[in-house]
Amino acid sequence: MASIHNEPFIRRNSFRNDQIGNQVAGFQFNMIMTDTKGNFLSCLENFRIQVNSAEVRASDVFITVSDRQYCTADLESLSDVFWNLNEDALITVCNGMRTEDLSQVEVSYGLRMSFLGDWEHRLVVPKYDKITFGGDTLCQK
Amino acid sequence: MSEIKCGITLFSLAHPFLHRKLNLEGCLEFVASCGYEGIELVSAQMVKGYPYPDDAWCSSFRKMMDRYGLEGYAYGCYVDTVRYSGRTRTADENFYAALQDLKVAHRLGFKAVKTSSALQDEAIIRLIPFAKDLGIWLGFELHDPERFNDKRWSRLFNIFDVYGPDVVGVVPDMGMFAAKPNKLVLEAKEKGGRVPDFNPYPWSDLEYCIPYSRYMHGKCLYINEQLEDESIDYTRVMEILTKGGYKGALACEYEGFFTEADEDSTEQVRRYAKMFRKLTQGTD
Repeated sequence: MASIHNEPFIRRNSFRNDQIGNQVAGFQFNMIMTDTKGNFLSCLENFRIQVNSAEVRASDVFITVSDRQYCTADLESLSDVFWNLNEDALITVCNGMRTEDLSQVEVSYGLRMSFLGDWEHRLVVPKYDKITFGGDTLCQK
Repeated sequence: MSEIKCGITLFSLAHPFLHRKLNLEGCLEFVASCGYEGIELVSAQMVKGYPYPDDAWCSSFRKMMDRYGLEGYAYGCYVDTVRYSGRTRTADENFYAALQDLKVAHRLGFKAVKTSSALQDEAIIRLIPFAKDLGIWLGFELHDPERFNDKRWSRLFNIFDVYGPDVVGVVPDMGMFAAKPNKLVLEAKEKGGRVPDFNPYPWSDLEYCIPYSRYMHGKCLYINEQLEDESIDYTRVMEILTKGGYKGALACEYEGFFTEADEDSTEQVRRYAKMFRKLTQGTD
């Protein structure tokens, strides 16, 4: 398993459609913060989602923490929004895809250690997780 | 008989907390059952509403501490130098954030704030009168690769001398004295991992720090079934601290989850308490 920083962070059983009335706007899943403390959302650098190997626009991806939703395109400015360590973040991918359409979802970002160094010498820990959907089996990484 | 107190930073339980196996109250109940006398609460780890917990949460926390008979040894704080994208935080910003942490520490009943040497000198000097007035000791964590006599720390020790170690001082981390790899490191090496270099500091560094310290971190990397930390000679640590007249807490700070997250943190926390009692009382 190795370090806490390398643990899977996508909740494997959390995928569901984002249904609004009779329409499906996309899909959602939960993520945990694989660190020893919570972090301000501005410390999530280069947050990216790939669905079936295709990049999803940041403007179509939202993160909800403490019951408030934010666009991942705005993460770098969210220096006053705190993601608690013991809280799942809800990720909403508004690309119109249903969970039935998914074969693979990948999430990557760099977690900036907010308390180490100055901006030029900051430490960013790479995070990556992948879920593959196949038949009845949901395989993580 | 040693007067050193058996404490723990709840940082040690980061892994079960992250995975929802223990909530905050569960952590407090567990450490009390292990015999720990007091805790460090890590602000950004377990404080609901961080950095601005509300009165209801603060009140419930204080009740939990009373319920489990635990003392508040320290409020662990970060100096978030790169919280803002694209720039380093200014001394003023760091001061105001540290002042907020100090206020919360006081509301929660903590006797000390543990913070980082990244806090600029001007921010520290502005903070000291507030800490003194609230009766809270300001402690700066000395952690490898820093050393007490490097440029930054020489300035800090000057500040400690000017304002007095009963007001502001050092929190040495025993990880500075880690001398050899432990079971987790060796197993990680077998799986292709790298064994880090072990360059322990001289014990005289610890002796130097004692008069300036009111709280210390007992880094815990891996404690075996014989109740020995395989990397750090705690027999020697206790001898030096006792001889030096140290009477504060030596708080367990388990960090094995950085090497092997599957190792049972709670068992390591149990073993540290037993090791502490064995070394200070002759029984576990």
